[in-house]
Amino acid sequence: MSLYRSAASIDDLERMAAAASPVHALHPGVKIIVTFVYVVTVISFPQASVSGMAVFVLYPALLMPLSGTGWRSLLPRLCAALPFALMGALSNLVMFRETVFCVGSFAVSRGFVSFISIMMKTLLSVFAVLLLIATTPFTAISYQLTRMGVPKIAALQLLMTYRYIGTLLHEAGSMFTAYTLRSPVGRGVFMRDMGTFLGQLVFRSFDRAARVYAAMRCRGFDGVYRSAQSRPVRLTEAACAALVCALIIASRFFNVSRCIGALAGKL
Amino acid sequence: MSPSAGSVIIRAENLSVSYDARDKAALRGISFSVAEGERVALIGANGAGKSTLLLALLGVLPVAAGTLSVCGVELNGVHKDKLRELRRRAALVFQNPDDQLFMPTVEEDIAFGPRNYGEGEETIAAKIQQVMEELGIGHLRGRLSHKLSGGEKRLAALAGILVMKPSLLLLDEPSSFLDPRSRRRLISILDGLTHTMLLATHDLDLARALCRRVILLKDGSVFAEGPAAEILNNEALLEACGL
Repeated sequence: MSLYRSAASIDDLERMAAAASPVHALHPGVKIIVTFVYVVTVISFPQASVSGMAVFVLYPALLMPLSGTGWRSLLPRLCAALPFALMGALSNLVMFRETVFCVGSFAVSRGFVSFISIMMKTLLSVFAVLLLIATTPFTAISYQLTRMGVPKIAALQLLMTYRYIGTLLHEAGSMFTAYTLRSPVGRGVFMRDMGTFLGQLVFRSFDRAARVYAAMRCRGFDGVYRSAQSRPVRLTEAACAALVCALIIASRFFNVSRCIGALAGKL
Repeated sequence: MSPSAGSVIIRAENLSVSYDARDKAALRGISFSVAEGERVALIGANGAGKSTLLLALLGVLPVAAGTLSVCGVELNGVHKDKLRELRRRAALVFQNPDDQLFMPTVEEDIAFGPRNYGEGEETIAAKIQQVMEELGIGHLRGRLSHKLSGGEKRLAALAGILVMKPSLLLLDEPSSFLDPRSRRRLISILDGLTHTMLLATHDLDLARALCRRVILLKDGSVFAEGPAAEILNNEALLEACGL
């Protein structure tokens, strides 16, 4: 993915967050809490409990059509998390080779179950966070985080980083284009120039950041980010969030997949 | 053409400014004043110190020597609260709108300043509506600010400043990055404003179109000052200053 496409990818998320749907209309605080509960619950599953996690696929599967965010826009971003999950999960395949059960003549090792578990946890968690960002403007997330007690400096840092990623990518994109147009091969930055390239990028980004900060100070910024104050949480939203959180937590202790399997077996 | 003492909005006397205490001063011995309602062009070649002076006027860069008073606020050893008040009364439109447009959408960016000054959401919404109508940019309201064209970015940046209702408007190279049509539109908009204006530019036609008085900077010092017609028609003087 080129630098410009990476920057465009952030733009797409912001555009998605500005859309209108029942999920977009929900109070940002409600969405943050549900996402948090979902992620913590998914992560809390033991390594061997793959079937218990299966039901959690329903969350993104239901939210996507409700929010109008499609597979096409979210899947490439989800794939970005795959290498990191793979790096963590692959070692399990080698380290834990004892067979835990067989499917026909295929012996399933503990490492394989653990591998699937890590992959599922990562993908489900990243998907949930992506859905939150794709349905809530980042400024609203940042503001809600401060209201929930996250230190202002941490929320501001998060917001600034998010904003500067785009700036940095645009800056790097311009430099890269200018470089390749003057390089004889035009296939990227030579290793011998990489140090200078990255050094220049750091200096340019630093200068740019200083100018942006000066512009913010000139408009009264004093280190406290003030976003549009959101409306209060409606009773229906709070009830809905409580119900979803309860369902999520219940699914952690009650293996729905196994029950469905047992029921199907009886029938 | 010195302004009368009662109506002075900017007064600089023997002002020196440096980016770093160890560096050579970027501005040296600057003295000038601007009266309320005046439109003054600050011209000079690249590196003459125009942008530096604008930043110093808002207290972004500290006064190294001399005295500086802007909108009634003395900037020598000024307190933080006074600076906030000054930046409400005097506002700067940056040379590159990309440096200024910080928030994701145009509407949020315009609201950035008023929110920092604790204005209510209803007041902010009304002000945004008004300034967008004045500048004819209502259609940009929900657009991503970094996805606008150069002309649109310039107007969005100007809106983010005008919404704070400043009495002094500082503009740094307002015509840069603009095509001829956008430039004409900007000149027409600026010409319709009643604010006191200090306009840093090396676009001499722009200075001629908007300002009656000119301050000519060279190497961080005031080289000449006088009526626009007199300074801008003196080719030898402009040539000596690299214009």
